[in-house]
Amino acid sequence: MTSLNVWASGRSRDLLAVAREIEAKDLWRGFLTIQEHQVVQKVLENDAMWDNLVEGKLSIFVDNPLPDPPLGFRQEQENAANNNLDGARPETPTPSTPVVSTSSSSTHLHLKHLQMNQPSPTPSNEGFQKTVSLDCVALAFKVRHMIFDKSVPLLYPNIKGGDLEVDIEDILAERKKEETPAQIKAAPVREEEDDYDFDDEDEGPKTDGNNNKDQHTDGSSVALVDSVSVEDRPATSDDIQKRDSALLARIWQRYHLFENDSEAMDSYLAEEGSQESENTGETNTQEEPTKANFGAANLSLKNLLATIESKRDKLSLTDTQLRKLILDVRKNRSKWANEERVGQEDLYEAAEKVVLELRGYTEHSTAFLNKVNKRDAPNYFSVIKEPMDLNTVMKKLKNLQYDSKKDFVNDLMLIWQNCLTYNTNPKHFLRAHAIAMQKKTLTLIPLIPDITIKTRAEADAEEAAQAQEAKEEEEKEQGGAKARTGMSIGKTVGKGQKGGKGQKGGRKRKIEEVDEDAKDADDSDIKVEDVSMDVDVDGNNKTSDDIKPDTNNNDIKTETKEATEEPESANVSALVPAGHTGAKELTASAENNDYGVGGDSDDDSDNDLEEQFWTEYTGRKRTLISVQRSRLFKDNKIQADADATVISKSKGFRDFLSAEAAVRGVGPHMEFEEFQEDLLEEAAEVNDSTQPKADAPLNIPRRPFLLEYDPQAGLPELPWAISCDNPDEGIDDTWSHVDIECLKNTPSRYVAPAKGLVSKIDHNLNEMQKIRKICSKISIIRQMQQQYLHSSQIKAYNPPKITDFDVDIESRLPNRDEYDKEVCEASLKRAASRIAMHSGFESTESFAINALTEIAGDFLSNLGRSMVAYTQHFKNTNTSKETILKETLEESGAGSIEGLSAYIRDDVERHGHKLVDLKNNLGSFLGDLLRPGGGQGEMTDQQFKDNSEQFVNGDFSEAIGDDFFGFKELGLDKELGLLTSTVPLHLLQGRLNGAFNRDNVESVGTVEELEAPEYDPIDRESADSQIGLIRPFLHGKLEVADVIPEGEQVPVKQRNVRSKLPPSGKIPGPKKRPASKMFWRKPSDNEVFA
Amino acid sequence: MAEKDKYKYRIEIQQMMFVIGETNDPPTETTSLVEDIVRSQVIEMLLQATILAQKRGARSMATEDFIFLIRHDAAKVSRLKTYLTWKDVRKNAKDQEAGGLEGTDILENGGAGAEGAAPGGAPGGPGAPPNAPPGQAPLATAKRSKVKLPWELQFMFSEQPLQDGDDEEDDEAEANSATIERLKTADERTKDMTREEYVHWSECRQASFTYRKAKRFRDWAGIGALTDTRPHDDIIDILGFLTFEIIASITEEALKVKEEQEEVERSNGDQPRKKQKMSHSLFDGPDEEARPILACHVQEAYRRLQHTSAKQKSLRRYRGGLVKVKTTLI
Repeated sequence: MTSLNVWASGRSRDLLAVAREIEAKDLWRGFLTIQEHQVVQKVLENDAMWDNLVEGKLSIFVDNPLPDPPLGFRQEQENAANNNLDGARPETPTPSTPVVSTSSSSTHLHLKHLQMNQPSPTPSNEGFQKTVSLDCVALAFKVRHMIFDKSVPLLYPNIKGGDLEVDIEDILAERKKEETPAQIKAAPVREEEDDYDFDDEDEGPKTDGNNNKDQHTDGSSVALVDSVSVEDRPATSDDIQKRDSALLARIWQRYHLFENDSEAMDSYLAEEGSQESENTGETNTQEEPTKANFGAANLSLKNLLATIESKRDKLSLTDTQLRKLILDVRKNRSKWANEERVGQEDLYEAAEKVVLELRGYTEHSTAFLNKVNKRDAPNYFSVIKEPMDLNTVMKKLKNLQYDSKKDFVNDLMLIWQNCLTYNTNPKHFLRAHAIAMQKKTLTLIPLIPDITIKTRAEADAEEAAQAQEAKEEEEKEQGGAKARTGMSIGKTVGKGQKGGKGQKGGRKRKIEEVDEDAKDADDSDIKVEDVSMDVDVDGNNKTSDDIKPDTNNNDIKTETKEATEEPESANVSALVPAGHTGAKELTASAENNDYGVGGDSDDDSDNDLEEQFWTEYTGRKRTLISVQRSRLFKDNKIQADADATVISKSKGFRDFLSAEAAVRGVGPHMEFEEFQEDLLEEAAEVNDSTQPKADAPLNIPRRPFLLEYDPQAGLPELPWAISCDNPDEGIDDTWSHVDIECLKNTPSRYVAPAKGLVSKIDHNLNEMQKIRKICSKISIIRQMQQQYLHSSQIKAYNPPKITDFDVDIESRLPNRDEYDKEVCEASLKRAASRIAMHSGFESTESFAINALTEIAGDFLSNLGRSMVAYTQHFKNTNTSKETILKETLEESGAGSIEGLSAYIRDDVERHGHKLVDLKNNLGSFLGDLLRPGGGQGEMTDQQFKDNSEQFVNGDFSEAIGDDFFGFKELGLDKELGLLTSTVPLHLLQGRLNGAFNRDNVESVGTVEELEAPEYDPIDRESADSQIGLIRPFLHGKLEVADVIPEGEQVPVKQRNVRSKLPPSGKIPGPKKRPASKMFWRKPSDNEVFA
Repeated sequence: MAEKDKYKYRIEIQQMMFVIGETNDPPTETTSLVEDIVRSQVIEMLLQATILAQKRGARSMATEDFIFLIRHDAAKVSRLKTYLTWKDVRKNAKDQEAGGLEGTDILENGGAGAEGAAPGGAPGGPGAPPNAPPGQAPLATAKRSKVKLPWELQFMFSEQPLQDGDDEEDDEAEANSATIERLKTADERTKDMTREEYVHWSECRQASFTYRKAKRFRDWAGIGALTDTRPHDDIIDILGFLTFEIIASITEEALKVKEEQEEVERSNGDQPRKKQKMSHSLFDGPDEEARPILACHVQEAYRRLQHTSAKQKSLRRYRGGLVKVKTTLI
């Protein structure tokens, strides 16, 4: 690959290009400290300097360096320390003069300072003052590491690390550009100064390099004023975050075998084991262990602790929480807390308790409460030179006069001894009391922690001495791992006195050991306590430095700073890194005993951000994982029952495990899970601010800790393994090469296409739902007409909308089985229910719909089979597909294709139209029901003149907002219009109807109509009075009847009904109506027209 | 007793067959066969209707059950509906005082309509011409009782809108096409009839199994043995209608069969017979070739009508086993 040549060639110009790229993209975060970055920034501006830097020939001086920010947890002093150590550097000119002096093979670099943050050492020093130098070789290595790390993605394209990659194209382009112009520029010749220093710095032989200036050996110095002034900037929180996230991203690139953690694991196990045995031995000595375990607080908390012990199972707190709680309790009572006097709190607490207890031992204590009165015992003070009593002891306590347990105990015993001395008569009652008190005291004494109070300074000094001793001891003892373990436990215990995460009841363990251990352990104990409380950096430094035999400063500071950082949950994680570091130091010491300094050079490991970060970040987890793995091989056998170490990714499996835990009552050893979750949390915290969560590369928790240890590592990855129930959250890396969006947007084959028969049916279904809604309203109104309904009795009809749910995303992947039986069944069932709904059913029994589905399935499968049969039958002939299809359909009874289209036309589409019509009809019917007094359009004068009250309504309730009748709920309010929230419908209707009718009748009455006057029926007399023309006619008629009825009087049967002419006088012709097609007959084919 | 069996409806059957198209007198065995067929069909219908009523949860069968049985044939359904409407009209008309004229008019109309569904089925009819004087209130307001079919659209929902009436045109268009076909054939047949012939024709048209013969029909069909509850008169009327339809179908089918057979015979048969008299002159003797429908034709016709469609068999395919088929209602 040509692009790899950028790195492969090793030309410093290429490297420079890459470095510039890195700088541009701000990718240096995890590799360099801020100081180093400043340096590199500076160097990048100058090609020549770069060349030297890369070769390791640059002298670097940092003026007044600022301490680097902590790696997430810690402050650091290592820079200062390192610089101190390394800074055996002759003085330079005052930092303010920006002089750059050159030499043959190295270049000075000065950085202006900002401020000093160190305790100022003596002025006449060897460069401590304001300038420190950085080791160029180390820096060179770091820079190279940083650069070459960017080549890894090219070699391993599958590894996700897209963000951290450098764009090669630009570099290649630049390279081409650069190649043509002359390589060699005017080399800035530098002045030579302080020649002898460069010899020190010169690490390797004088390589020729590519640059001319390397030719300049001593002597030929050209002065060049090349002033660079860079301010060392303080680290911002942004810096910290970026650095931490970058480090976190690369945490997985470390190779580490769990064998190295074996000691840590052993220590962990040892403690755990002892804790377990302690738990079992609890039943024997109920009180004492209880008391012993909680140190100074025990006496008064005795009952509480006893209760907690006995009911530990029922207590839902975790160990950590319990410890925290007890800590809080303890802390609150520390009136004895004193910063200056180390260990005071514990000792005095205990002592006070003891005294109170003794005082409360009322049977025997009375005599000893107060000083002996001279009058009572005349010659007392001649016999007893040191009188003592409980009150005095108390006073001394309050005056802080006791410096150690020994003193205190001596005083107590003195009381009894005085008594015994003075009262020699064996039968003296006081003797009995004294002896009793003595016995009591002896029982109480073990509860006091054996602490000697020291001032801060003393404590520090002592610790220093201690460290030396311990170191020598260790170096002597190579074989006894146990001893070492014991010591490390002591040390670790000392470190994590107040408990550590993951140590179940470890606190008890530690205190006990503290009690048993030697004094130095106690001292360390004390010191860490103080550490947890105060922020004195220096003291801590020295303390921790002194304690650790292995001068692996990083680790020590790790713990202490950790402790400092979180005083509240004080040494929550203090133990384990300690545990780890214990392991580490042991390892180191075991392996590199001769070196004495853990194999790493201070400088390197100090400056190696990665190492530090990795160590402290993963320490505890590694221990836990080792422990878990060891369980698999307990007793040199494979334990089948031990918990698996496979990281269970699926939510379902985790649920199962938690359920199992609930049942068994025992939690599985879920270190891996904790590990995962911890990482998740931390990664989330770190990542939140810097990158959006969607960036998969940093989704660390999903990858196994070490590939070698992953049982699934050898198996090829499943392309689209299901990662979790909700694919939107926490999408696995394996999902990244699936186009999720595309999958989401493309509906699967189980959802009907948007256009088609299904959409028509759905439309019909929606219409039916609307119709049903109207019907429900109608029925409610009808009900209301019968009886009065309260709004709560009215149930609104709200059918759910008909939607189709698609299968979940994972099932839509192309590699899934499309013909999975259950899914297909469900799909067919959905179709069948749709058709059933379309026929009018609102609900079915499940049995019915299942039967329908099965029948449909049978039918379809028969269809398929016959199709196959036909195809094979007609294989040899050239029967077209259409023919086969037709045959199949007819055979199966599905009819012809025309029949099918007729079905769609009639049964679906026309059905839909009919539904719409029906809906309109029902709607108008509903309207009629609601407004019985006439439709909306019939606002005539009549309605006003009626004096009916149909337009009167009491709208007040609407103004109030009270929906008394529930019309709004029904959805009737809009329809009712003027009748909203007024008189109940049925009443109103009655009134309306009645009013309307009444008034109508009246109004009809008021309008006078002209009526045809009634004529008298013609009888014989009147017949004569008629005109002569008709007389004979009338007479003829009168012969038959006496009276000739006319008009209305004619009996119905005889009425000769003839249509009267309308006013227009025209006889209406035949009414023309459009001839309905229904009376036409379709002319048939074989009709012959005659 | 064989005599008795055949006797009962022989005349009616003959009349009906004449109306439908069989010009010659069918022999006895034909009519006996037809009567047997009809009876079995009636029994089958009754049985199925009873079962339906039971499934519905009703005590006795109702008109809807019968209509349900023939629901696939839209034409028949509409004709049946019309017939039932006329029945109501008839009933109402009988209640009128002015029984005589109007009643008979209507009766005749009704009769014709019942047999053939006169085109005046919708406009003509119920209650007098549109320009009837308002005086004749009862006729004008003679209600046209519509049979409500529970499986129709509006009954899917719990509330039904008020009847408007004019919304059936679409439906009936299709239904009427078959009716119109029949009417056309009838028209052609009667085109050249003389008055007497036409009277004879129309009398034959009124032949019914059940009109005023309900009791006899019940005995003949053996209804008592079939159902517990005594079926309605309505049901008897419906059955009467349906029997006519059955005979119509059989006769038509048998005619077709006869045609085909004669075709075959003619094509296979003797050459000399090919010479046909294309034109009929006045003095020709009776058409010797025209033969009445024979029993074999009817049998074949029946067989054809009993053909189970592919639909009914489709689910049983690829499964094997004995297939039991029930009698198809014609």
